[in-house]
Amino acid sequence: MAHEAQTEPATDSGRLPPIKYLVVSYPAIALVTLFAVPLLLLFVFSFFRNISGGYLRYVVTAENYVRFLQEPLYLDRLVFSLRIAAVTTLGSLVLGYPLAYRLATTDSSLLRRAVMVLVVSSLWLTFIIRGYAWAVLLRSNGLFPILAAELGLTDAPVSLVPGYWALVVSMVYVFLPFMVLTLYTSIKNVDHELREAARNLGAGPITTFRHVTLPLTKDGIISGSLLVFVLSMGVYVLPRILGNPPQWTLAVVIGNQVTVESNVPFGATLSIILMLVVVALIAVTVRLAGVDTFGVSATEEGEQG
Amino acid sequence: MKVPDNTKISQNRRGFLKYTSVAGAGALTALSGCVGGFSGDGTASSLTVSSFGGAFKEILEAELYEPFEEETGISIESQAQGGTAEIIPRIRSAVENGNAPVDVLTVPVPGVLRGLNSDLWMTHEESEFENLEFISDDLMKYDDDGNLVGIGSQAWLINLVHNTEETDNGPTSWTSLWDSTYEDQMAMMTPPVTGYMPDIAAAIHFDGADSLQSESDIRDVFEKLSEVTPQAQMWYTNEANFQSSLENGETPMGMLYNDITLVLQDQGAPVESTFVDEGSVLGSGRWVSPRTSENGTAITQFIDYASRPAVQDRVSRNLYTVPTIEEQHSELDAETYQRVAGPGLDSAIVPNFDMYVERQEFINQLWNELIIDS
Repeated sequence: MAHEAQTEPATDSGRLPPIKYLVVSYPAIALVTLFAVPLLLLFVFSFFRNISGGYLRYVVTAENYVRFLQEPLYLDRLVFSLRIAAVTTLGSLVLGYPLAYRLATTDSSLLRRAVMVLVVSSLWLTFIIRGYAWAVLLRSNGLFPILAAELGLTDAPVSLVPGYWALVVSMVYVFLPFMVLTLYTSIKNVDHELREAARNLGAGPITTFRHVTLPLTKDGIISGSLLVFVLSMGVYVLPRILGNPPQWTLAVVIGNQVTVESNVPFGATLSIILMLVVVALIAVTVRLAGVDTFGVSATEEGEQG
Repeated sequence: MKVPDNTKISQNRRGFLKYTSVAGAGALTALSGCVGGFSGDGTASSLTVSSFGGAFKEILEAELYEPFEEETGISIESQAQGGTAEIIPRIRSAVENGNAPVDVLTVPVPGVLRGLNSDLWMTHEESEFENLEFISDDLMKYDDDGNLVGIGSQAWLINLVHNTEETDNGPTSWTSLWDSTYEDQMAMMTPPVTGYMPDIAAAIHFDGADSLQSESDIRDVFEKLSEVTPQAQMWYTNEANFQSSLENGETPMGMLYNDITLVLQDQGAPVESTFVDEGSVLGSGRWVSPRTSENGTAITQFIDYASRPAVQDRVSRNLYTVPTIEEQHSELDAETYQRVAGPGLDSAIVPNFDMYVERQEFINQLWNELIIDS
């Protein structure tokens, strides 16, 4: 094969044949076609003017961005989205870390596989089905409100749907697998002999965790948290199923701009702003934490670490 | 009289529409420019007709399209269509390219107005029709030049409904929306162009449509409307969400289409629909055609057939929508007419459709502030 390759000469000028350029440039073409062009269109549309009751006018205007800044409603939705994404991330981390730790450190491959399948299998269902499942479980005649009443936590079964906590619970459930899988890899990569060494030197389990495991899984915690946070910022289906308008995220408002209000330019503007905020948050986190996250590192040391 | 057999049909008509909208819109796009048989003189051998999905589509196929096919020999390809915000841009795109993804659509009034603003619709000569005289004048739509563009297809009423196991006497007046007795008990519709709550507020607390003429007046109406939010336990876009909550009593009352409530009743749900004292809210659809369709003659035949009193009555008996013909032309018995139309179209609150289209951005901004801050 190598011989065949050698017998295929480059062109006289030493350049590759055109077909090989196509093969080599495929990733770039895919990136440009699937990401850069739509993003550019979104950006361009955000400067067009919406015509009430009609379509849009192809004039360059910044009025959509001005509207975002002038109307408190949209900033309020952005802040709400940030808040609920933070709560979801925290919930996922608190629930996901012990689970990932147990999976990564267990000697039972059967248990590990079983729990992994259980965690991953929830991803096979669409958001809509999982959202409606939680709507059933959290209604006053659903499992959890009845359980809460039986345990004496409430006087009677209280419906949580639609409402803030229904949304939080469902979001943590939906994004927990992403946290667990990220943390599992990180914890699994920690040399278990380091933990044993700490214990041999007299450190208890908590001290070992605090001074050995936790620092060595910092990258995993930040990566998993950023992943869940970014995904939570874009959540659209769950607030519509499990929330009332006060629980609508900016993504829902964007969806409404396009599908209900036919205001594509303003929807594009809100999308661009949401994206910029998310990118800025990732950049700041990476910079402050100095960790290798999503393959993006802040420092050379980060890349090596 | 034929007994309605709606128990076989999805209980969620417009809700189904939402979920089929993507598929429907995709089908529309795929069919763009390849609408069926055409003889070259406007007399098509087939027509593509789209309507709301779910029960709407099923019943129209059985009670309208099939009899039309038998009588004329023109076959109908039936499609489910998405909501106005989805279908209008696609029709616009097709028309700009000289295509016609469908020949005839039934579109709610705001969609007709948006299409008019973009010059999407075919105009008709009234003299080409034999049955337009039966259609209520209020349900015909003309362009600014007086040309006929839309003919009433179906009408529907938004009523107050309640779960009969949760409460014996449900609310009968729109004033209940402002009544703290019902705090955190009611389901209300969103967006404004669906539930027309600004029109309800204007009718109950102001001078009706006259109070929705200027931005200042509209702000006053919305300020009054903000007082309904404590009563809202649920704001719904998809009827399915409220239907299930209503049936199990979780949300014991609220606003809902009369036709959907009657279907729920047929299925044994403990629900009651009440025609509101001050008038239920009247929504309606129009048959319209993209101006690029080349099947004008067959389109006229189809709409004319659909406008026959007997056909309108037949559809209403099965779909529970209000016939678009004048009441005196309907042969529905008094009980059936009362069930689907209550005191009739004249008693209903007719929304200020123009406002929702011409001031779309302004209205939606106020509305979003109202319900999100609630």
